Amino acid sequence: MSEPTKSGSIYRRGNTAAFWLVVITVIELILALTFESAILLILLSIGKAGIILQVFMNISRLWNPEEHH
Amino acid sequence: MSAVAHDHDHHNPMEPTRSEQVKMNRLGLWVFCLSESFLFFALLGTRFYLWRNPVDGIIRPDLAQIPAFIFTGVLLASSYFMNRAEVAISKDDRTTFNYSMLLTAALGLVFLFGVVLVEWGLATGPELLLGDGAFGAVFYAMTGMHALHVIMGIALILIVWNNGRKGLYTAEDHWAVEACAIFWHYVDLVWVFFYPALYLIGTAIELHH
Amino acid sequence: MRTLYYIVTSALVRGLIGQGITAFVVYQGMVSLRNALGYDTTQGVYDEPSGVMAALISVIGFLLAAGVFTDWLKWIGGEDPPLKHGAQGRPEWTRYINVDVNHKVIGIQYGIASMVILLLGGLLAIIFRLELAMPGLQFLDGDAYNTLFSAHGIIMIVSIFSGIAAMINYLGPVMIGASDMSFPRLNAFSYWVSIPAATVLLSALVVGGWDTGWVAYPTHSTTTTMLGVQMFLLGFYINGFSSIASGLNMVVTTVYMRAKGMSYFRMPIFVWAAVSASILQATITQTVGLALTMVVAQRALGLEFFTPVTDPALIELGFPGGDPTLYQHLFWFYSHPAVYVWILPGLGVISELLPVFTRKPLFGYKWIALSSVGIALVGSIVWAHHMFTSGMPVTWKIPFMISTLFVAIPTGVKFFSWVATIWEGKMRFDTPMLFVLGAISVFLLGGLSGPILGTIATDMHLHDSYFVVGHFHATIFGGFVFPFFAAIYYWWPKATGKMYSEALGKLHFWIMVPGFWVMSLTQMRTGVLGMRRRIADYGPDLGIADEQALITVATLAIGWSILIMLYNLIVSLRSQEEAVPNPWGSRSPEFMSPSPLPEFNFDGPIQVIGEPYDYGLDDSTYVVPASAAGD
Repeated sequence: MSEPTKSGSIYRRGNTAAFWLVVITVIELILALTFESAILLILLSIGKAGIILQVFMNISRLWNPEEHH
Repeated sequence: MSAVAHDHDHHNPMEPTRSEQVKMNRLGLWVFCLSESFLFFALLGTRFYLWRNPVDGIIRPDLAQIPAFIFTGVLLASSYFMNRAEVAISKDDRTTFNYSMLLTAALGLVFLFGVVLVEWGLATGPELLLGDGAFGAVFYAMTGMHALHVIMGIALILIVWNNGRKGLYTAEDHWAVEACAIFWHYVDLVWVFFYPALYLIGTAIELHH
Repeated sequence: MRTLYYIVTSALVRGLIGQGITAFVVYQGMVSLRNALGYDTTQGVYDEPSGVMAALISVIGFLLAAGVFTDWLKWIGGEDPPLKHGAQGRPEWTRYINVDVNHKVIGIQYGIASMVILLLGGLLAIIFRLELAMPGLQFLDGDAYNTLFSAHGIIMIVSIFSGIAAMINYLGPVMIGASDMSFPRLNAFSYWVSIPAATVLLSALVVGGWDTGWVAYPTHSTTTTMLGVQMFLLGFYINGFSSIASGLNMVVTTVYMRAKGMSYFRMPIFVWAAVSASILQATITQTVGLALTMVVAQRALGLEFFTPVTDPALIELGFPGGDPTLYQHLFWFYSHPAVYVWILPGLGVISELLPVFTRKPLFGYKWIALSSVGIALVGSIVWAHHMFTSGMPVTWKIPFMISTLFVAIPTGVKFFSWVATIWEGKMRFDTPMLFVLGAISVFLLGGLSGPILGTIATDMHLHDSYFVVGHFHATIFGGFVFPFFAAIYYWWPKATGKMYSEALGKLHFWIMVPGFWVMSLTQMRTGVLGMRRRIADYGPDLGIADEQALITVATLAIGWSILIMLYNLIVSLRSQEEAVPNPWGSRSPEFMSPSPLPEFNFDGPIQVIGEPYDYGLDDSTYVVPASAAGD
């Protein structure tokens, strides 16, 4: 049993992921309005998806169930 | 006649343990997400199959950018708070868990109303009509199918928040929270692909009404 | 009196009443609402958007009334209800008409549903076969004929899905040494959602029928005035929930619930086939769901997915139009691999039974196991071979032709393994074995006629002809129907504890297999001679009247032989004689336990200590109780 944590350090991983997701989304919007490159936009989406799958959805727990945060 | 032998001892000698069941639940949920991906990929495929014309190649309707961008941000923020809630319960931080769950649901509702009221134009008058050929059909199908999942996600979050308030989850065993998080992030994941497909990719075609 | 009480209060009856009431209330409510909003609700036999809403909500009505959701609703309220095992104080037979979580009960529920639906679909076929026996229209008009063949198609598909679910549910968990599926409640949901789906589907026959075939291509399906089409689309769609949930369940069960020592390459070979089919079912079903939803939405809401843009002003602006070929892509992306979902478990049964009846090891176990996965994978990238005549660019056709012909490789692996397993075996010709051999012969016929249709040049001539009908029936009878019957005969003593009559079983075989050969080959011949499929009539000058009469006679023979089987099975239930636990000398885990199987399959965990198919080898054991393994 772990006691309630005061500091935000345990949330750092989520904070960092959210920061990059916002940055990429802004880049997407700017790219769309300037370059019109479908390939780049799709690549950026895949990058965002990777962050969500790994950090938010913890896909690695499927093959490594003991791993915790 | 009975095809299962009559057996009054209703005790399963091979009952899965709780941790075995959680492992199975987790894989089951991921297979469900995989299954849903076929639906969403089929919708994306439909978008790229239909939203083309001989002159410009891939096209998109010229929809207002700023509201869509804001709502995308709102959904992302809700995903962030969902993650925060899950981390919090795993550290037994009940206060953070409770308000994070509520914030997630609230932001999800903002996104939902954003799509329905602003993007579908129920409040302001639509940019794109249901009957506007392939533009209208694909736009409403994709946002609508996604919104349906948002509704289910919000319901799930509220149920889990309520059960969490009753103290049903512990730092060690909070599968329901994890399941809820995986589903909600999955809904966000889908929007990560839908947002550029609907609003960003292709040559903008001006809409006239 | 007690019996009547148990029937009236069963989940089945409660569900049907719940569905009926929900449908009526929602329909009336929707009609009033739409009237109030100023819509015209008097066109057609019923108001279409209201009917769609009523059909969808009625499924929830069924499931709530039947009690399928009860435990989940309790979970929402914060409880953790335990699984309910057994008949809950009622007679044992009531388990089959109530919501039960035991995989064997669900398997048998599926099996009964499959046979009932099969009889219905067969009856429809016999009606329109009688019409086709002679040139000219005798007793059906065009609409009735169209409704009958469309309904025959989709009803048989539902029957096949129930049939494979029966095999996978009953056999899957016990074969891997588990006590049940990973998600018993979800398993019950899979079965019970297919009942209201069937009701919605059958209601299509009542509310006007439909004339789109089971494929429902737009733009015909989006414009037809036969309103049964909506109920057909929705019934088909709702049945998809059953497929997805049961596929998911079997995948997880196989990954996590195998007995100790049972590595993937030591599973009974049927499990490989079942899990390949389950992976397909859990994933691709979504795309047909989308395709059907799109047709429903275009009809009921006016979303124009399939209508090309015609307004010159809009074309000038660069507006995109809809495209009917989109539907065909989405539809066949599911519906082609779906036929592999139907045949994979059947091919698994063939591989499972051959070693038992030849008393020899299965030839090339790993190749057979992987060929199931191979068929599932290759089968998923061939869909557009259904569209060679749909106006696809030739640059799309060639790759699809090549991938289609590649399916012959994993299928050929199976054939070679079967032949090599039979080679120099000590064969026993019991009824299950006869049906296995019949299945191989018929599947060969279906397999050999496949590449002819997969090749663009020949398909141009044979597309939509009776040749396709002959080919398709041969693959499905060879890949599903005959193996399914073999499985019924083979596992009947295990499931019921009673032995059927071998003599009647053999009679069934000797009527049905020749009957089928005649039917299928003659269908192919009439197709080559110019008979189109889905047509109510043909000219006498086409010179196929005798062939058509022959097909009808063969169809009747098949129908009678199936009635013989049902008679045989039902009579055997009342016989006093108990079957021995292992009548075939099988090594498979389910034959370690008494017949019928106990509630949790085994007294305790079992352990695998050897290879599964070492028949005829001395001193080799496959499974033992874990307590006896010592280890």
